[in-house]
Amino acid sequence: MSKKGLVGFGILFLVIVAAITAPWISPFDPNAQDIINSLAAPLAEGSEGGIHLLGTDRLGQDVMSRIIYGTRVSLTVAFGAVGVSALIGIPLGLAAGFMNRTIESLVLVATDIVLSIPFILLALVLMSVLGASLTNLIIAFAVVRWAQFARVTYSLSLELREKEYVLSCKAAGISLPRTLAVHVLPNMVGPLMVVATLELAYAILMESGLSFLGLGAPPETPSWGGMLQEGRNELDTAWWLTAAPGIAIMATAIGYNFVGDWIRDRLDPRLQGVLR
Amino acid sequence: MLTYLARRSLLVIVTITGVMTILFGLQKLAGDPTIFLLPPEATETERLNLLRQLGLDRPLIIQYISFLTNAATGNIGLSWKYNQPALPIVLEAFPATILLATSALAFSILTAVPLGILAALRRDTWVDTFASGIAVIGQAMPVYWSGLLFILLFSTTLRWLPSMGSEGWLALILPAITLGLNTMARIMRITRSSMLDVLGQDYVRTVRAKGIPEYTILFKHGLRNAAVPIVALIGLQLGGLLGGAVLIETVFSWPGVGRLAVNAVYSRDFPLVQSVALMVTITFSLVNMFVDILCAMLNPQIRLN
Repeated sequence: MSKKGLVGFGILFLVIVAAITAPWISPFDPNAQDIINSLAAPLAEGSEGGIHLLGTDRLGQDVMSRIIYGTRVSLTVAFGAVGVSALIGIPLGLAAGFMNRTIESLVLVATDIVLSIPFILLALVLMSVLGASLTNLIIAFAVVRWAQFARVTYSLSLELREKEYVLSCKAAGISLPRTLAVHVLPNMVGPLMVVATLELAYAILMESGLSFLGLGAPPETPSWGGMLQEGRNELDTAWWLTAAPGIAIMATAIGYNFVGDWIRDRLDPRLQGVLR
Repeated sequence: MLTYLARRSLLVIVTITGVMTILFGLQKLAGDPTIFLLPPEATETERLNLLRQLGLDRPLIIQYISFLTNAATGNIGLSWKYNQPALPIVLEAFPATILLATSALAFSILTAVPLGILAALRRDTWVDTFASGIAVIGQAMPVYWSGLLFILLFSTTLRWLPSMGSEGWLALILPAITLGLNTMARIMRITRSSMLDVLGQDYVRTVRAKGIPEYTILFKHGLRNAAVPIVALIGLQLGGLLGGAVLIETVFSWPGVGRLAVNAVYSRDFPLVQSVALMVTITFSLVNMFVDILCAMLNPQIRLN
């Protein structure tokens, strides 16, 4: 495995392990307030023992523990959002590629429409309608980003539908759903995985961005974007409140991107045009 | 070329109508606006009167058609908070966002294209490694976080640049660079790979064999042929820039449509959020159309397909 791939998988492994084992590895309860130790610098000692490795916030909550618990929001939203997008986008892309011309144009025009709205603005509109919550964040993401999956699936279909083995399925009288499930989809898995990793990176950046605006995770749920929003008010005095969650977000995004690059490099280089 | 233009403009009209349909659907999802517009002690008669006044007692299809026709004449609803037409409020804030987005784009093109070319020419040297390092970080850094870090460094610590507002050119520097970082990373990657692609072509080897000076090869034979994917990507970036502006304007208190939209969400001023989304989408669609036409002019293959 390339160095890049190792780093990428390493980061994601750490994030997933942190999310699963959060209650055991967190040095403090993420919501425990220690007012005497408000805005303690990194490595400060807690009033009831223990070391605040990354300091505390205004309420005296341990930053390290909140970062560890923050992986849960990050992973839930990213995988939820990308999963739903893929479940909508891939079938539509297949329909556009393998069914009649009307469906093809309908799907393609629909992707043009939703991709022409900057995601964060549509999310703002949705949040103002539905209210801010993690579920609505996932919905907002899927409403727009299915189109990315549909587009890639469609361009892959254009190539695959001319292949002899796909044509011979038709000649042999195998039904279209079966052809797609057994002979077409397995040949799309690689490229679609690349899209998924890029979308995962995009999703965590957007999730933290919306949480930063106060429109994502509710305040009592520790999330990286929410921590950045709080840290912004203490920027002059407590740099660690801004540094720690930012690094966490960036590292995770790099992890997804590297894994995506690694998969892409393993694939046929001719696919790179489709997957840019 | 004419058929291409006609087809492309039709697509813009379809796109904008589609976006309006989505916004209309969301508006209906938002439920009864009289809850926000009237004081809680209002009577049922007052409520029904307001519904009639707003035209919300009519059948859905009529409401939809009048929503579209009103929008065509520049009337996209009343801001609930300011109690006046939303469009002028949006238009007033629009120049600030356009200024921010174009400055960010200018910054990213001016840094990314030379760096991308250099990385392609000095492939696998420290320049290339440096450039790809910037690309990795630029794509993974949340824009608002880089904004906060810049404020911490250049405003709070060094006191070189203002951290907020829009007074004077100095105030533009930090938000524009922050917003441009992500775009810069993307443009640099594509410039590098597209230049590498072109410089490896047979015709480049041929002109080199003919003894043509290296800078002529680079600009006339290299960059001109590498330009199409770069220009196409730059057009697509504008959507990301306008979206990123929402966050950046909040971080730097920049008085554009992004901050307007965020504040409108806080005050549940739905028509105002909707108007911002619509105006930004229209701008983005039009810019994309011009970029596509530009690409079609640069490369005849596109318009013939």
